[in-house]
Amino acid sequence: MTERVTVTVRGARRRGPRRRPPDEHLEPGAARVRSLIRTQARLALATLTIVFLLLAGLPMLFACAPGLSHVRLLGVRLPWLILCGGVQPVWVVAAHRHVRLAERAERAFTEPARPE
Amino acid sequence: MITVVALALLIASLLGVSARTRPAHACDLYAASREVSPWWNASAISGEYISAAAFLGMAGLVLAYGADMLWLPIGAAAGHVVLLTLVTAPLRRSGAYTLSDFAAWRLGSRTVRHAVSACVVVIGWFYLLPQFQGAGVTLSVISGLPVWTGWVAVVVAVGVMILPGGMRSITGMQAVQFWLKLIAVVVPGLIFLAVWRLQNDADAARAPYFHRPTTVTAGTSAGMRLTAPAVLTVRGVVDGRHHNGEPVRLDAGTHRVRAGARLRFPAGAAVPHTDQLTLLRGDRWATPFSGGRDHPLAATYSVLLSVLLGTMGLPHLVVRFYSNAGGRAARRTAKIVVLMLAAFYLFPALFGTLGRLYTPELLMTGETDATLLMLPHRILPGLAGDLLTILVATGAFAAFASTSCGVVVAVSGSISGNFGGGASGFRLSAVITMAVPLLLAVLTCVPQSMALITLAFAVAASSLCPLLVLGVWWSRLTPAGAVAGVLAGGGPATAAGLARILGGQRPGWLGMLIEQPALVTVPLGFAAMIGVSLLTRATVPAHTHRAMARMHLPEDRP
Repeated sequence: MTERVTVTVRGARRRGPRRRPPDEHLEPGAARVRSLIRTQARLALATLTIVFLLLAGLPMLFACAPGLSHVRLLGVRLPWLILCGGVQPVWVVAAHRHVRLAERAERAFTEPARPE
Repeated sequence: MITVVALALLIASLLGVSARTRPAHACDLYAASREVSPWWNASAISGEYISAAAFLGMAGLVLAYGADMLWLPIGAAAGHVVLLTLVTAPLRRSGAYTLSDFAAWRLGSRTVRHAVSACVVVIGWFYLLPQFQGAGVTLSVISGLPVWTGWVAVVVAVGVMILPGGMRSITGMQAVQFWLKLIAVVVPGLIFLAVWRLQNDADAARAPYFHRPTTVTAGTSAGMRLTAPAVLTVRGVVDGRHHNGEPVRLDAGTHRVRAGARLRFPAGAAVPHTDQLTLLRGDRWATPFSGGRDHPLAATYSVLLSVLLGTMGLPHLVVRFYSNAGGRAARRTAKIVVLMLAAFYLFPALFGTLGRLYTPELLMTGETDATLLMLPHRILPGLAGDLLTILVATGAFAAFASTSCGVVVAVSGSISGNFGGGASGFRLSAVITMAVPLLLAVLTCVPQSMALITLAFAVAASSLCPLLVLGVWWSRLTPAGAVAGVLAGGGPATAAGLARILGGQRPGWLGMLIEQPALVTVPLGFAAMIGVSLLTRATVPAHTHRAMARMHLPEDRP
């Protein structure tokens, strides 16, 4: 996902000098940058997995078990209760957790470099 | 009722004017100063996001289609979670204002900028169309004015609000309007709930019938389907015969009602349905995937995908994060937006359910967008109903105005930047941005604003979402790949949208995909973008790694 670019297309050499891997020599912390991006990507994937599992699973659940619609809780049909009130809190918690972890990853990136 | 409308318009516009300041220079026209706090900016973003379709249309969709529509609010809030995790902070740190700017900066190519601008314009048009249409229906239902007056009202309101002031003028207004809209659903919602519980405990899941004698005026000529023979009083033309207010016996089956006809139904009569809607009896309305549509599970996945991924491609939404101080503040803003939308979306299902009991004739006229506006009077006749109607109508006009303003500013900012920019270019672009949806509003045959708005989401999800996700996270994206992906995903999605707007509904798989194309077009967009990028490996922009670092590193790094 984040490896550096290397030009391997045949014929590219003929057109001019081989392109240098960009920026590697300009930015000394390139490896640390890559690792931060990878950490953030991992966090994003974790949050997205929760979202996708829930959004893929719930329709499947209701499609496979239509009888759930006759189950009532507090006088409300179960699918209505889950869809109207049960899922949105999960999004709020997931968003909150993601922001906390992403900010922690950024602090870990900035803080060791600071003078004590 | 005219006074209600006038009062609502007045309140909404006063809020707009009071929040306005004069711009200092031309560049301020579409660049709000970056000093907005996360809570304030989140209010503005939510205010812009809760459009007429969400405010009025969601309740209408629940009334007409029942449980199958409960997925939309969930997908909408989840779309903001996706936006938060993948895009907000990096996009804010890129320093690009519009999506076109981002594409041009990330890939260093004018062609990519043009392709993205084209997509932004199409999305803006698809997004504005339901706003106009919703305003037209709203105004005509509550005041009896012709539908086009609503369109004119929105165009005039948007013109007054953005042409002099630009983006800065509407940040404060959007934020105030979010709270207005939230109050306009929470207060009636709680009152209705209390009254409904006290009055009766009827289950909204039974087949809709008229609780009391009701007169329905046909707004347009249309077919209505009766399930059982009925005797009603008719004034106007039904089945080609003119009636003068005498009782008429109509057999079960479809009858043609000409526009302007007034039909009076006795209490207890079953509600006939417009031939655009399937009659959902009893449990079918309340049970997911039994709404009589073709391939309901696939359609649900498709609409969820488009709302989930399309949110990040809405041009008016992503520009708002530019008003945050930095990536971290942008991320916190997005988090608050999720919370605000979750609170707002508790209510449409309640209104849709109540609509089934108190305003069932909307199933006959097809103007389900009017549900929320008609409920106050049905549930609480008298002064309380009047006051609640004013509150709801004010919220509705705030919804039309704020979303339309946001979209017009974002789209015109995007295209005028393409052609050199400047204040006069911006104003010209704004006029073009509004003209096309106005034309489409004349031609369209889809009555529900929420059904129209998913078309905009589908285009955004298939074109700009791949560009943003891959642009932010994948360093091997090339300009050619970006253009290929935007065209391969956005092209078919746009074609499907136009077919839906102009051609109406079709049965089977093809009909499902025309209505909800995302299931096919999103993978198409991603595949084309990745595939062509890999084929044109040699043209990866030289500044890619610098760009990646800038997007992902915190601003306060040493």
